[in-house]
Amino acid sequence: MQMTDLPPAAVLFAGALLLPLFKGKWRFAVALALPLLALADSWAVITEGGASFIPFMGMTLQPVHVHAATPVFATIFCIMLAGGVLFSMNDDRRVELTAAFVYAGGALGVAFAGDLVTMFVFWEVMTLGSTIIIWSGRQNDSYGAGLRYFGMHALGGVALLMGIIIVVTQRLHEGAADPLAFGHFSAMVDGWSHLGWDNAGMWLILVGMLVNAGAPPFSSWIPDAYPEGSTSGTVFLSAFTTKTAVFTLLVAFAGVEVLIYLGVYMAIYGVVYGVNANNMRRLLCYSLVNQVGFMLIGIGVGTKLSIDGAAAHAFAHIVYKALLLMATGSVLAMTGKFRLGELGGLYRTMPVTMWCLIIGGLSISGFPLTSGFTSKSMVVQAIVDESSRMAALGEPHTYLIVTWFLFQAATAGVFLDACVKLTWFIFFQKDSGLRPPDPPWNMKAAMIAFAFICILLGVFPGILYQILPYQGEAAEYAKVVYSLEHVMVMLGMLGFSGLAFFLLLPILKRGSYIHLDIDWIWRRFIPRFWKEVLLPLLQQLDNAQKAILESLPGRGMRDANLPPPIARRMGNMWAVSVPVFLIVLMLLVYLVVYFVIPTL
Amino acid sequence: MELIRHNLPALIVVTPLVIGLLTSIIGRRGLGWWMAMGTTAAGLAMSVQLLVDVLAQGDRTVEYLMGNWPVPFGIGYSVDPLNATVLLIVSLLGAVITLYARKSVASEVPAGKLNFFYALWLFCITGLLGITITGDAFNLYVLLEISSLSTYTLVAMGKDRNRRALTAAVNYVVLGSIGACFYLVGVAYLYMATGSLNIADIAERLQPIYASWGTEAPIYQKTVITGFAFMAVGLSLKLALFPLHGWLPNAYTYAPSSVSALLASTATKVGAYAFIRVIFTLMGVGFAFGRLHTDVALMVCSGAAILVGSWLAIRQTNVKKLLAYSSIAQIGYIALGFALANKDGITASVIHLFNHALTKGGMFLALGIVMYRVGGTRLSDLRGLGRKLPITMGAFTAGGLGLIGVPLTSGFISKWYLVSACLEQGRYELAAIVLVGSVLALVYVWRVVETIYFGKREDEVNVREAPASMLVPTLILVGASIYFGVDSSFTTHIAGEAADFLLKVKP
Amino acid sequence: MSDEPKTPGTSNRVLIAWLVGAAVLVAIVAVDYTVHHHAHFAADGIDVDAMPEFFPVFGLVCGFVLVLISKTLSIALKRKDTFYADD
Repeated sequence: MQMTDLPPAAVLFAGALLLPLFKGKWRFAVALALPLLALADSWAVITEGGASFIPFMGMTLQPVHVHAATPVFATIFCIMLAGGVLFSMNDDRRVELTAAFVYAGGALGVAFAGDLVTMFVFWEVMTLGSTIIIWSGRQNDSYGAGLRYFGMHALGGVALLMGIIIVVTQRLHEGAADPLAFGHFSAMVDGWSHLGWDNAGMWLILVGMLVNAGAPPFSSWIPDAYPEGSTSGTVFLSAFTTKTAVFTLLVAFAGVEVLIYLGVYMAIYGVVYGVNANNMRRLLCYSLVNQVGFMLIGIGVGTKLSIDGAAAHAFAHIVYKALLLMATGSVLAMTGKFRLGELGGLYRTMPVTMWCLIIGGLSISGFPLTSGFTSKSMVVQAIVDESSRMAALGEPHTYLIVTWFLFQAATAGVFLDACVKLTWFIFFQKDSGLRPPDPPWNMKAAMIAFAFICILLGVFPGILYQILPYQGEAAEYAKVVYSLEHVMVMLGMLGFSGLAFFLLLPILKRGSYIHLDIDWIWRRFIPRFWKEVLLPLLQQLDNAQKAILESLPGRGMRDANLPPPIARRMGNMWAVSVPVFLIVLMLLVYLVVYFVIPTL
Repeated sequence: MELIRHNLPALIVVTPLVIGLLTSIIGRRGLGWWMAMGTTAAGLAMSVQLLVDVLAQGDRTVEYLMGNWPVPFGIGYSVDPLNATVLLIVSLLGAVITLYARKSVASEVPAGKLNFFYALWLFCITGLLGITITGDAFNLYVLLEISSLSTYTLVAMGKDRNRRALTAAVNYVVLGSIGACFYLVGVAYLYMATGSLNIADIAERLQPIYASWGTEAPIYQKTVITGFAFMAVGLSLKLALFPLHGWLPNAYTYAPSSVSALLASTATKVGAYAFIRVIFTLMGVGFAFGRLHTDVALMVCSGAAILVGSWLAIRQTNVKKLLAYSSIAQIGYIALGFALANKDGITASVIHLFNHALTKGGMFLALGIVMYRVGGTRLSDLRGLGRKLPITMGAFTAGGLGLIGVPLTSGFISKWYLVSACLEQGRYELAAIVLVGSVLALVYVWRVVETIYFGKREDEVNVREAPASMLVPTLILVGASIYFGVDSSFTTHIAGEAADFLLKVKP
Repeated sequence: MSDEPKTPGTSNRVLIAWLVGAAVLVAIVAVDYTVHHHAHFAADGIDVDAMPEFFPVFGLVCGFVLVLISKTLSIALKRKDTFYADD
């Protein structure tokens, strides 16, 4: 059996099965080796161009297929899993580790899925794995948050499945050669804006993917569920679900304009809610939404450069978001506190964590010499290029200009929020009196490794650019990425939004608050409405019905004839008469249908 | 050997009948199960052979004349891909559940009545196989009564566990008899109009009658149509199609575990088969759907069955009853499939007959193990059993995934075809109902799964995993339901054959 | 830094950090003045972003505006963090 016959996801699933068999050091040796093995296997498959086919219901499944964006995503998923394993090493969380392998295996499976059914199956595997990770967080609300998370993703999955069925059925009717193919819906994009039954399938697929990407109105599951993971669990969670959704959107819906609007909304939403957040990991979840918004904008613009930008940004984002969550996770692990208001002054004793957090924060804001700069600026450039192309053609493109300005505003905002504010409140501000040391060596090692990647990709962007979907465009862009003008734009914007933070510090006091989101509707409004309006109403109806039944002749007598205990014990004798009545009613219905309808 | 093979269609019905009679009169305890097991195993072998024979025939039918009397004077048995499949379902489930029944029944039925129990068990299977194979409308009624009467008694035998089994049985007797009676009245009307009892013969004689209706002098119009109405209602009741499902939940809930499994996986399936047979072969689908709009009535009923059944399932606290209501919803899927009357729809129906029999049978068997080990099937009895009975509960969960229709389970295949069929007919609202049904199924399955794996037990009962004789049949059924979700070539092939056969005989 | 926070025990190191920060901002302003910025959307006659010191001002204004929007929303949407746990 050749290496290329082995689906990379299978390596990780095998890991999930094997890990419980090992103990102590061996478990971690195996857990660290497997993601690297999966990485090697992924690249073997990618170089081979691997394609395997399995017959399924008269069609073919393609579980190992290499999309243009597969190399970037497969690589980062494997690296991420290895980093997460290293980070979690000191804390023996067996269930979580196994679930993480299932979860990452699902993500890797999606990255190699050549058909819609394979994609869907791995998609649901991810939902299972991630739900278990949330549950094993053992925080206060882990169980409830996990349930809400699962419910949300189950519904998203149903939409996705339904969409797939509709699309495949339509393709079968059109006699498509490969009805299950998972690729760009280019043939359907023309009639895109028109929402109707004929492209309902595509819309449902889009909705299913967007739920996982955290797009509005379903952004709130990210800040709801992820902070409930354990210190290592949240690191795993941040990496796979949303980025897999980005991958699938990139494959299937590149160039779909609506993604731009959703992306802009997410970018601003993430900052606005992030500024108000007090739970440090929830703040990072809001900025996660903000960053995924940038990726959606890149996908929505749909030029080669913007797609490269979105893919590169997903890669860079996984690394620095994991880094940020590792750093805040270390603070949580060492102090047991997660509210920004309760922290402060930790720069004295946690220097490594502080510098890692700063590097992560600079990366997320796209500071020069970090990975965020070299990836995000591609999307920015692509917006400008596309705008001038459309201006030359005389097509409407104002939305691109607005997008560009809002994009830059959100970039300034995320620096203020996820870099300056986080660093300031955790490591400086008032002295909280806490003197925790830096975390154990493995957590430090994982953070330093990821911080190193952030800087590496910032200084040598070519490493990442050469595995992007469109390497030509990326290589072209590499020549101008560090122009003085680019650098000064970022420095000016970031520096002065940081100044704005300190000027506004008096009104940025932290209290123990959360801020309501759309999930209020199903977490509070609907349950309350049910309990306080609908249920009493139903009870009233019930009483009325009982009163009517009581008033019917016969029933009272029937009950009176039986000694009460037997009446209770033998069940309700009345029960037979209702079905019998229904039988007669149905006969009547059939007679009416048979005699009346044909004569109409 | 050739003699046996030639007489297979008769033997498959007569064998359990004769052995059943013998079982009821033998005195030795413990022998009953062996006789039932042997008979059902032989029945399985015969039905497999019959299916192979049918598929080998050019016209896909095997005819058999009882006592060589030619139809319409004698009783003719006729096997085609559709009823060969249903025969396979009944005898397969019959054999596997009999294998399981030994310990389970011994723990739920008094030892003195065991032989009697297995006699009834065989009579029930006789009736179900007979309904499936017979080509005679009146003979179908007789066999319907054989299976029903034995079923009533089997349900009542749950009385030693719970007295409610008696009311459930009485309820079932009343409703079941009315249903059978309606069917018989329908047959009588048709006999009046056509003078024949053979299904194929009636269909043929109906043609001139149909033809006369548009003219000045319609013949027997009211008679025939009234007959159809009676038959449709009678069979809807046997099929437990909403709103005539009233007898089902209690009968399934309070019957002994093995009986619940047998009923859930075969009885309603045979009812569905009989309905399909009456619509497609006897009335003729073009007439039944095209002119009489039976399809509209069926779609409304089955759509309501899916929604109401699933909704009621969510509200149950007894898991057996929950599965019973879920069955009502699943019957909705089956009826919806053949109401659509296109190839995908009938394929979906037949596949779902097969898949649901395996899935629900497996789940009832898993619950039977809970009954055997814990002594109850309320949600509270299942709390935290995930650790105590890992294999059983794993099987139950896998079955639950099938009910939802998760890909790689057989439920997915059925729903795939069903949704395709809805879309093909442009019935988006029905496709949406199927979808909503899946979401509701997710909710009710989740409720149980949550209890199994996350529920905390107050009483630390010391239960062990079930004996192999119960575990193996459970795993066979659940395993098969997963297997046919991964490799659906066998089920889609035979269901496709059945669909082709039914649509070809369109008048 | 106009708003020097009243951190107890401000050491020399922290003071140096503040001074470095201020120096960086001054340097940015100075360098930005010398750099020639292209207008990104020149084709549409938008050249505001080519003005010297546009991006420092933009960053400052965005920081203010976003924080003010957040705080305004916060007035309406703020709840104790045990809000959902109270059920």
